[in-house]
Amino acid sequence: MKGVVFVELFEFVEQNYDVFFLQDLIEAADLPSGGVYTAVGTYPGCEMARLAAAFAQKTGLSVPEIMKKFGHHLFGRFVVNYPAFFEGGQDALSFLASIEGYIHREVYKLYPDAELPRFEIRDQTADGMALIYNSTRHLGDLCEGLILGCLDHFGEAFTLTRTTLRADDVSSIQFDLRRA
Amino acid sequence: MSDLVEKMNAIIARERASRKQAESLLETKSLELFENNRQLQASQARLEYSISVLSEIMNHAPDGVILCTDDFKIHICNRHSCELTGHAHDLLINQPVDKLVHNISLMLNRTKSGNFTFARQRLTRADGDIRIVDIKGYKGPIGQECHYVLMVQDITEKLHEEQQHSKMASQLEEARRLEAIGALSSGIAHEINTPIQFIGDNIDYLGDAMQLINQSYQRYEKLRAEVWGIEPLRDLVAEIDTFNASVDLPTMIREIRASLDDARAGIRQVRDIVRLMKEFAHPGTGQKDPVNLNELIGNVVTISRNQQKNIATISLQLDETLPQVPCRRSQIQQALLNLVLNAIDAVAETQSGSGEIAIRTCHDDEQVHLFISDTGNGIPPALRERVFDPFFTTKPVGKGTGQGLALAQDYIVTGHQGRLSLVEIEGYATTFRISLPLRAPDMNLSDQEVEHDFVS
Repeated sequence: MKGVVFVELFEFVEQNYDVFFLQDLIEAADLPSGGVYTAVGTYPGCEMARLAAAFAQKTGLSVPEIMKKFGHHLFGRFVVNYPAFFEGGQDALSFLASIEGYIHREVYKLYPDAELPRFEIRDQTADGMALIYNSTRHLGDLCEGLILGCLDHFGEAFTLTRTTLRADDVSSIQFDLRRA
Repeated sequence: MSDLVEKMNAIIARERASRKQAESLLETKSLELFENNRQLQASQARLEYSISVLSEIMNHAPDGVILCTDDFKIHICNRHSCELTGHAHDLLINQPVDKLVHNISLMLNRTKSGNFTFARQRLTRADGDIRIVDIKGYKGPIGQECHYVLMVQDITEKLHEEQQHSKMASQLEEARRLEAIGALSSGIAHEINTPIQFIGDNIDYLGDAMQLINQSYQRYEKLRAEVWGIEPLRDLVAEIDTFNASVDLPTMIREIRASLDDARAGIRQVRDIVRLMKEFAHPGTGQKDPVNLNELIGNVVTISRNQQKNIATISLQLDETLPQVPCRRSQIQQALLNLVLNAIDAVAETQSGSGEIAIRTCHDDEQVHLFISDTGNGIPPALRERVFDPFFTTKPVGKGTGQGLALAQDYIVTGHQGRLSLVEIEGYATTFRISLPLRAPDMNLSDQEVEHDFVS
């Protein structure tokens, strides 16, 4: 997993708690990396699971809840860090639909070894569409948080319905967005 | 307090480690970037070299090179393509290739992937001219799409040269054949001459004998008239009268005489032709003798009678006061015959297939002139300068050798210091003038002095 996700998670924790809470979290997670991350590095995805579990244990929140909140925060950070992807007066649906064909393609140019989720778009209309998340990392909650962050960014009201299509070695989740 | 210090130290250590890791990553990435940049520069240099080489090949290729996309539009073309087609480069790009070669897209579409050859295609230039081209090429993917690479070679000149070569070879063959016929004609003339001689002698003998028989018959007739009244002979005379009345002997004798005269004329004609054949087979090159050109014209008209039949009417306007010209009889006769045969062919090629030929002679103090005119289709202005060239002919292969006029010119100009000119006379499409000096000139005219004057 790219280091930027870990770095942004630490930012999220520091913003909502403090540096000491973050340090406790890192120590509790007993990470192989020792919590030493850089945004451009690549680290084992399991460290994210360990951090989420320690986070849940320390706060009493559920892991899905934490990942959704973090996803929402992460989308806001993407807007700040990568403004080029948000130029051109798009709306939420067209932005989400362009991730696979545009943003992921750009990411692969910089990081050919990146392991990104695969998004499928179905039944796209002006009032909704289905986005199917496929990944071996099982980060459907993070994805849901990102979608919610996207809807908030564009200021559009949609109802989001989540259906798990597959949950074995590969996680496949369908997110249906319908204009409210 | 110590717990807080401990935590701060841990945080600082983690942040320091993160910074060191980031520095290390930065160094690694910088090295990667440097190496990638070096490879990129090397690739760029190779690419630029390849582009330069390709560009040189394209620009100096002796053939047109055209790259078409799968919708048969011109995507890339080289300089020679522009020269070949007469189109500016920008006007060729994105144009359908069918614009150059009609329906080539259908052929390209039908061809299988790999190499292909379309021989002898008609390429239309910007100015409307047609060039004959061989197209070789390759059909296959370049990138994701099917492309067509066409190598277009202009073979118009080559084809023309091949045709000229073939035509010349055919004319040479025809010339050899005629030469062989000429050689044979000498022997044939000899073989014909012998029986013609005794047939002629026999006809003369029959004529003489017929004369004697007639004289004898006249005497018998006189006798018959004298003895008619004598009794013992009356029955015999009556029998002779009855027989004579049934056969009409006087008429029969007149017809026999006329038949013998016709036979003598025919034999004379055959003898003349045989003599001319012998003369043609052995053209004289030696001493010039005084020759009556009007007589030669008569000979030529006789020889070409078979060719004239149903095609040309020959009218003669011969100067009765024409002085004799010192010349090699057979050469001038040959030259005249070539010109008359050409005139007959010219007349035959008209839409009606027939026409007139006029032959006129005249003279002045220095020269005799002979004009041969025809009502054929005429000689196009562009070809007038070339008609005297050896092997030049507008006749179909196997018909003309292209040597008739060249030979005539050689005989008249080189052999007799005369002139052979193409002139214009109203009412006729083509007129050749032969001028022969009445006295041998001091110097020879060179080939360059051959006239092509046009006299109205």
